[in-house]
Amino acid sequence: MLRVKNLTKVYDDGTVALRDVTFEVPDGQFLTIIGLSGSGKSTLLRCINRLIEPTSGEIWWDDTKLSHVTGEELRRVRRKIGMIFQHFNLVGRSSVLTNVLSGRLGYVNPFSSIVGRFSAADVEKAYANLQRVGIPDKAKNRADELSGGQQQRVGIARALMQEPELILADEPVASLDPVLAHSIMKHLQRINQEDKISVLCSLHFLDLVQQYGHRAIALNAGRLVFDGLPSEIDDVRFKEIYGQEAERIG
Amino acid sequence: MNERKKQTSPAGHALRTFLLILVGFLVYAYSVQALDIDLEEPLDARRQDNTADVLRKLAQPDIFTFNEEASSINATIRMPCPAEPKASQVSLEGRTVILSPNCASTTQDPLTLTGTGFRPNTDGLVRWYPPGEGATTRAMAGFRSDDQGNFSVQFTMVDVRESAEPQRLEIEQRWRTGVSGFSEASQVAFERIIETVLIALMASTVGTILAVPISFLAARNLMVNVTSPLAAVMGAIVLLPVGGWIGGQASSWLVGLAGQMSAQTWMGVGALAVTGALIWPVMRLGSSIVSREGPATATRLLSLLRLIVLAVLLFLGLAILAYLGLAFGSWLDGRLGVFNFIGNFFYVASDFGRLTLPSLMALAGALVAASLGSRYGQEAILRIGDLPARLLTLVLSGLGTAIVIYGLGMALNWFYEFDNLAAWTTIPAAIGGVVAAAASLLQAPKRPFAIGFIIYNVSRTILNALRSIEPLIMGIIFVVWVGIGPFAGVLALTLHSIAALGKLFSEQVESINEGPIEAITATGANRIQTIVYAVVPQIIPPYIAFTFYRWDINVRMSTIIGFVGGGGIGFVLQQNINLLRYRQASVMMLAIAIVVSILDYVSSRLRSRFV
Repeated sequence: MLRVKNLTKVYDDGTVALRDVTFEVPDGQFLTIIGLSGSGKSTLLRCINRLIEPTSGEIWWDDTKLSHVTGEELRRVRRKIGMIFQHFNLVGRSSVLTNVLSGRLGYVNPFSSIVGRFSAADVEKAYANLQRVGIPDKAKNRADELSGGQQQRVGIARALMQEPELILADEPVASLDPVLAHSIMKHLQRINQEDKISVLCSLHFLDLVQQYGHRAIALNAGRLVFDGLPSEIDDVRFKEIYGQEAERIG
Repeated sequence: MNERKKQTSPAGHALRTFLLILVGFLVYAYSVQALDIDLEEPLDARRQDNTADVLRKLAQPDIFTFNEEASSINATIRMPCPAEPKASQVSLEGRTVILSPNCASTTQDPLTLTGTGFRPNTDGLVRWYPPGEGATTRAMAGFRSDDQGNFSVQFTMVDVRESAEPQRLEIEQRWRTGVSGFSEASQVAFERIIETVLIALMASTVGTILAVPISFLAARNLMVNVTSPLAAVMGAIVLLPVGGWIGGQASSWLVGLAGQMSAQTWMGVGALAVTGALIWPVMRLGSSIVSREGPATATRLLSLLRLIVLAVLLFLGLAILAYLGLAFGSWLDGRLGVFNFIGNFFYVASDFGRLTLPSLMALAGALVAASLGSRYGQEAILRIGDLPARLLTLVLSGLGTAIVIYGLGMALNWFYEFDNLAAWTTIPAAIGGVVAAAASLLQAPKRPFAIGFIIYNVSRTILNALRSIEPLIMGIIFVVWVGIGPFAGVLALTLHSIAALGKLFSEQVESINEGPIEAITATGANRIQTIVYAVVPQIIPPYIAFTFYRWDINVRMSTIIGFVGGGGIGFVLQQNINLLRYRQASVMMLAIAIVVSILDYVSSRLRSRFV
């Protein structure tokens, strides 16, 4: 269970990205996060694995205080949280296999990983995960030779290498066309259902939210303005979340 | 911005333009006087002759030696003139010369020498053999025969020596019949240009290797996120000299031990094998420690112990290797003929290892101690209460600042040799310590302190300062330290390359895609793993390109580093210029031009393959 309590993030330039955000995510839930660009979705996800340091508030994963761990412990926590990015964040010049294997870095011996050695078990696991996302034949390709949809699948395989208990997906389909978007969302859905991994996924399109999310929360200017079932978001709620000027697309 | 721009009236605008033009005029007018710009000098006939002479010599580089043939004919001249001067004629093998008159009484008397039947279009020289034993011959006049082999030359005697006997004039023609080989200047140029290219190669290679880690420290995007509570930073600074001392002590013990072990070569080889065999399992042991869950103290101690054992084994192995290398190098010396330099390489490389190991180990000790201080300082400060944390920060800040100021004072003392050392070290350290301790109260003890940003700025400043010193000036200092020769040039160019490449490399690091860093960090990778997996793949192509670019620059630099004694072709070029041997200097310049343009081409081709 993930619990976020009174989470606030103020950037050094004074921008308030999150104001007093509180919510819980039961194990195995597919939680979607919606809101305008700049409403704090990315900041929220990055506070959970501490790519961004929260200003105040607490984040708990079971009985680990995620918001306050440091050093070795922080790394040990991070390796249990997979992350998927809008721009995939693969290393373009490295092979797909290396990109996937880098998901194991939190587990392996630092000395051997620095010289690029991974155990046979890890390599086998990497191939298995590539198989799972449907691109086993691309292992030896350079990552930047792949199409956008394929790159995002590599991103998912990398996250799976961490044997995560939680996956944070930061607008995973915003750079993809609608067909690919559904394909990637289906992969996330399968991981959520088959592996019982909780997923926190920020999204732009309401139909995706309603199709894949168990639950939705909405942020507006850093405040939590909605927490409920995706189906509860009607036109009135929509205007509360996105502002009175907004109109629905898709 | 635009709103803040003041509206200027047209008159004010005109006035400002006028003032700008006036200031510009004054600057240029003064420059003409300050820079001695004077057109009379270059138009002076004597200077123009000299210049033409130099340029003509430069245009005829002394590249080849030639086979020459000569033929000569002797005429006679009387000094002083008899009562009735007349012309005299001599013939030999179809050549005839007529000297008119055949005598001279003063150095003003005009003489005319005409010749027929000589080799056409060939330079010749008239020489005078003054009377007396051992008198040196004097060149009197040069000539060039025409298409028919005729010539006529007027001259006067440079000196008049009176004697009863007629004196000898030799009329000689010399001509080249073919190239016999390369001149001495060409051979010197060839040797030195190779030396020059090797200076550049060495400086670029070593410079690149050292610039890579420095470039990470000078990259804003990598360093700005490095933060740590103040107490942890100060703890690291306090432990730095302690670790350095321990490392230094341990290394002198290890090097001594290695020396004893390698007294007999077979013992050394055995010890090296054992050490090497031990390193691998100790490294493998790591994986089982890392993957265990939970921060057990025992695990940490074990991990630390493993690191120490690994460091000891590694340095011991390197020290033994150095001693064996010394023995191997001396053994090889004199056995390899042309490849004798290989033995020398082993000797010098091993000697370098043996001499630098203590410093390396002291450095490693200092860094390990500092990182331990930082890591455990951070954990301690976050665990304890606010008041003890404040106290710990206060004490460590005072101590750490005092150590830094004391170190800076000692460094200044090295330069200025202060009379009152305490006034520059102990006293400012004490004052600084107290001030810093007081100032530390302003910082919340658990808040991260931007140490990375400070390291970034310090390394940037050092790189910029080093880069602003021309390699020629560095060369002067290294010549004093290691003596005249290419080694001084290598050191000067290496130092400059580190600074220049460090800056260029760090800018490449700053321009990489940040996404992969974020992604790799999110997997739980540590900082070094993040650099290896997210940063290094992105910077390899530009790093290679810049290394070739630097090599290209270093070749050009190394051609002139010899002007200050740094070896290479510049050294002999300057000698030849100073001795006014312009035809030889021209060979050196030609060699530089050829090599620089070849490498320019090669480096741009190689660069384009990597970008």
